[in-house]
Amino acid sequence: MKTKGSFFSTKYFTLLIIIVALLVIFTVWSKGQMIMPINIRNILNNLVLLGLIGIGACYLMLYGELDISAGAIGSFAGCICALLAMRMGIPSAIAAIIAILVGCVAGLCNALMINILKFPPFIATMSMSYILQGAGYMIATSQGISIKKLAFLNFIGDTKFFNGLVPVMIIITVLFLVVYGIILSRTQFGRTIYLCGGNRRAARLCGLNPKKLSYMLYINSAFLASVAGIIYISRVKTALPTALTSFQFTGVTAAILGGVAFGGGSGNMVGCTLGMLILAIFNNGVSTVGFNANYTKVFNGVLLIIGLALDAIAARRNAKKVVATSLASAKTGKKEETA
Amino acid sequence: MNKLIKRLTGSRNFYLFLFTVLIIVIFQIAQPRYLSADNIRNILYSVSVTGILMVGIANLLISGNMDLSAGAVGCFCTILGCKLINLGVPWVLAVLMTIGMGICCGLLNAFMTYKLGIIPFIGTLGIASVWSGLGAVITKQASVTLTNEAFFKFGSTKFGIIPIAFLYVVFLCILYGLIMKYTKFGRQVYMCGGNRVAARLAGIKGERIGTIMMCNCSGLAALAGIVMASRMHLIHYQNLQDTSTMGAITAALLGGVAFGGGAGGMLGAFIGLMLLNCFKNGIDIIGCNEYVQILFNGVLLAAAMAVDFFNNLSRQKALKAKNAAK
Repeated sequence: MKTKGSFFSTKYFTLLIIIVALLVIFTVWSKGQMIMPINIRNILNNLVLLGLIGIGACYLMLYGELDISAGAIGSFAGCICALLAMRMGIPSAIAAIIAILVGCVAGLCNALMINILKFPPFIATMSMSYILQGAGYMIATSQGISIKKLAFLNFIGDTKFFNGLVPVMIIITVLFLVVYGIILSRTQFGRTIYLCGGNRRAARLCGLNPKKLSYMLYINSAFLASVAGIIYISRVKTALPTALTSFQFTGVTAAILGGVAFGGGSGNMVGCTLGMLILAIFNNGVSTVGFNANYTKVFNGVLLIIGLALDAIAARRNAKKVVATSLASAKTGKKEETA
Repeated sequence: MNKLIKRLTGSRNFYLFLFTVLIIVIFQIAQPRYLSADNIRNILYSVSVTGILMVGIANLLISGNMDLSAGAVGCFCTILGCKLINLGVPWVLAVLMTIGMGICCGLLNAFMTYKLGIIPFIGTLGIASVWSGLGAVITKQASVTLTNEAFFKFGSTKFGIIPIAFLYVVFLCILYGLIMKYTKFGRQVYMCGGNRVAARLAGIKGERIGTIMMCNCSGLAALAGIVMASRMHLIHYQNLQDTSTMGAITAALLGGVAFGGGAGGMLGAFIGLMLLNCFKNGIDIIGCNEYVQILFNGVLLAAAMAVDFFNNLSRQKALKAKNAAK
């Protein structure tokens, strides 16, 4: 019984309640359209991209930094893949791998700018996102490159298992979520991220190498974004240079809604996944009910700010608690001394 | 005379100016149309809107803060302002009200930063998304056209090849330059940006200064928007969004304003602004398409940050040398 009781008091429970509430509200509001199979597939499709980009964002935020170029990297990788496969006739599987590598190089450039030139991560990734967007336009123009008859991409985009209910992309995403979740919570490497995010100096004094970790995490974020980009083009069949730009800070929003602290050091993959679900359901619900994309933009901004405000309030409360406990321990310590 | 040369060669602004001239010469050689009267007017036009935005953002940066919502705020307030003008409100009043709305948006930013404790970087990004979304919702994604002839004079009067909007920028730069350099308040802003803790210990209210600078930035952004609307005779919900904000930040950084605050001045920022716009216009006129320009936005931003990084290095070196001499 004890475990159950503790579950009800955790934030996962709150997040689950929010998810259920959102589902119910939007289902009633849209007169049942929300839970039609076709709409649920829309939610899942959105969740695939959100999930992949969100994992990278979650890892980086645990480390205490952020990457807003993920959307641009994904779009660019999609363009590169389409360019190689459609215009140069390279087999699509190899094209996809090359595109992912190119994306990783962009991530490496981010990390170089941040670690060597000491740019704030925000500005470095923002300039990277402009550069890649421009480059993407130069490759694919605003019409995009359409994709036809590519075995590998079609396999990723169209194959569905279990009577056409579960698309391959969902399986890939869930796999990524589970693997990254396990790495984060069960391995030494995962703990390193927490330590570096919580207190970088302490981590360095412990003999860890935060800089090396930073390189890995930025490349990782770019890698996941590129995978998302390739999944996107394989589903939509067109590579657009602006395909994923709306994902500029959705990853951050998802992570923060899921309880990852903005300064780094606390939060986990389960919370983050629930945050992604909230965001995906919310966005889909808003459009299903009949608001247009502009409202979604407004609501996303509001959600981000609410998440940030809650995070800041929680951080302040935590700080107070730490001060209180250390004061209390100092008092008891003195008493012991006098005794 | 010798003293003058020494002062010139010792200042960073002088080199920045030379670099700007160099860029102008290069583009003039590549495309003789570059320095024609029409194109100079184009450059000055493009300077004017980013320039007003830049004055606010540069001063905000100096105070050690950040606002990524400036462009979106400017656009949103201008949309409301233009609606007011179309409703028959006298245009002077409408302009003042637009600036007032901008200041309110700035207050909201300050509230978020200081009361809720949100980091301005990401918080203002969220706010920017809210304003630009609302702008699109209000206008139903169409542009608001204006018909008030008297209002057009406000932004589109020309003196020869110099548009009045450019004069606004020059005026604002001089005004803010003087305020920042010669008043007590201005020095306090520098101190806040340079070392927040030291400023607080010296009895300066950092939150108050931050709030004033944020309101100032948003108010100027609204002014930039309304000047633009008056020149183009319309406002569209996609005008002045984050590319303008980033352009203004890039200009300020190129001009030597420190990203972390506490250093830089309006003269440098103005030269940075000219440099940026001369370069952008040059790329445009030698026939690169808009996509290349998006790419260059990013490259220039990175370059500006690199300038900031090396500025910091040289400042630290100078300090060390000074300490060693002592």
